[in-house]
Amino acid sequence: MHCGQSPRYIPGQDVWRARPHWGCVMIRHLPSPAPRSVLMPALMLAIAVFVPAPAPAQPAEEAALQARIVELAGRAQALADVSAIKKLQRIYGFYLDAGRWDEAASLFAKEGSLEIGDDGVFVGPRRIGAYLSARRGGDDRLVYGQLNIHMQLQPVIHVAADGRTARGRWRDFGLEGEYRHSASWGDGVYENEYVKEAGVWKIARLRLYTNFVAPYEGGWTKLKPAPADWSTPASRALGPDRPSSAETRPFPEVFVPPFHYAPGEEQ
Amino acid sequence: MRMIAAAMALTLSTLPIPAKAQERVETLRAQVAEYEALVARLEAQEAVENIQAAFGYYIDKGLWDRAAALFAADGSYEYGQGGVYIGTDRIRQALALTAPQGLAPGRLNETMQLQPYVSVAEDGRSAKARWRSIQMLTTAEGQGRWGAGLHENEYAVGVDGKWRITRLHGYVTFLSGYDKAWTADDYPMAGPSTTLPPDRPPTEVYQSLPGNYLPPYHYRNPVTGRSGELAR
Repeated sequence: MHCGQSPRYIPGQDVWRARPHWGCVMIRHLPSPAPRSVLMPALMLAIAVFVPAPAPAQPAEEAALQARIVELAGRAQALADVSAIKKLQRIYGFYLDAGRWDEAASLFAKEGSLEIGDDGVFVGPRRIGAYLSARRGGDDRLVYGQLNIHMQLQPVIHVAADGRTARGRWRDFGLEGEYRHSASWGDGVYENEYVKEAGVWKIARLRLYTNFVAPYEGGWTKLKPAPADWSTPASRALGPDRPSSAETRPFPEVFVPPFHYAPGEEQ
Repeated sequence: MRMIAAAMALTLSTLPIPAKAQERVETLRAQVAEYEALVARLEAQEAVENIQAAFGYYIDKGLWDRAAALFAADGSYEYGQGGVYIGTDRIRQALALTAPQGLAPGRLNETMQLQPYVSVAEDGRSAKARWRSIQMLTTAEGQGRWGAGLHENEYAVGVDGKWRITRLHGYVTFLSGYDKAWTADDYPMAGPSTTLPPDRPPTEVYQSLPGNYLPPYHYRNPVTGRSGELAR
């Protein structure tokens, strides 16, 4: 086994790390139930092995160093959490691409909710999956001729101090269509909430503030103000579990989706 | 002799242990410092990505006051050929040249902040970043526009621990009408405002498409080490 100066990491297997004065130490990397960042777990494990046995000669300094290591491990965990949440939201988008409504819905917590535009709130993975499917015709996959690209872009992620919950603002940039029938641009902003359950990040609340779905021909400048009820046929057919959480208005009206962070707290 | 031997024996039996412990503590101290610096740089990268993304969301909705508040007190803002504005108040006024605070019905100003390449300084106190921007716009006259551009920005952390934009430079790749392709219906960049003249003239004079000017890369090629100026 080669011990280099840099941590070597093989997902799901063992991590080897070089310790220049003590040779190589092998650390078992436990199988993770969730997709994880590669860098952060390796870094945290590397930090963890540096906690030494207490040395009587330097008790005060060693205790201080150990306190710094504990603090450092917490900060590394927060970075790993941000990475996991970004990946969670990105795979939500990749499942939408394929019309894998079941997979997209499985990313939600048991009591998780989803709310898009003026369509009201759908609660729990089963209802969320049914609603997402109904939005694109009711099939369990994207069918031949359908396009459903939803890019998940521009994240602003904040993890709570206790590391149990998080919030994220994202942009949804969409290209939708039915072959030889329709094509449209989609534009919206998410303000989502996430929860960590048994070490796995899940979507606790997804809120997409739809700004517009505009036909390719003519684009967004051709849009007229939406009626008072601008819910989609899918919502009207299924009936949401709860009414819309707050009134929102799409383009050409100007509506600012609320921010989960105050001015000055963006970072 | 016996005393010397006894002293040597004492030395051999006692000194190596504290020396070893001392060495171990020093190794540990160096390693902890190394990982603290690494974690701080990763945190800095997240902070920079958050504030630039937040800047984009404010620009989307014409929240010029909040966008300007993301800059350091002596920060600078430059967009296209509009020249350089210095200080948060001047930056807020410069941003408001394009549309009123909060926009107006029918105005669209979607300005995506994408594809960040963030370089945090070794000491973790400043950073540079290159970003791509794609825009979906509606002008005051109700015309649709596609826009594409780049940013080469600089950031620094203040004494309060908050990251701010110290220099924002937006470069226009193209601005085109919605109905025709970007190679068929291009709109040149506006020059410096006459109603709110900039504090300094444009730092780089160039033309958007059909010109194909690209700003220098702030980073060296990570594989070859070639400078970003030469690689252009």
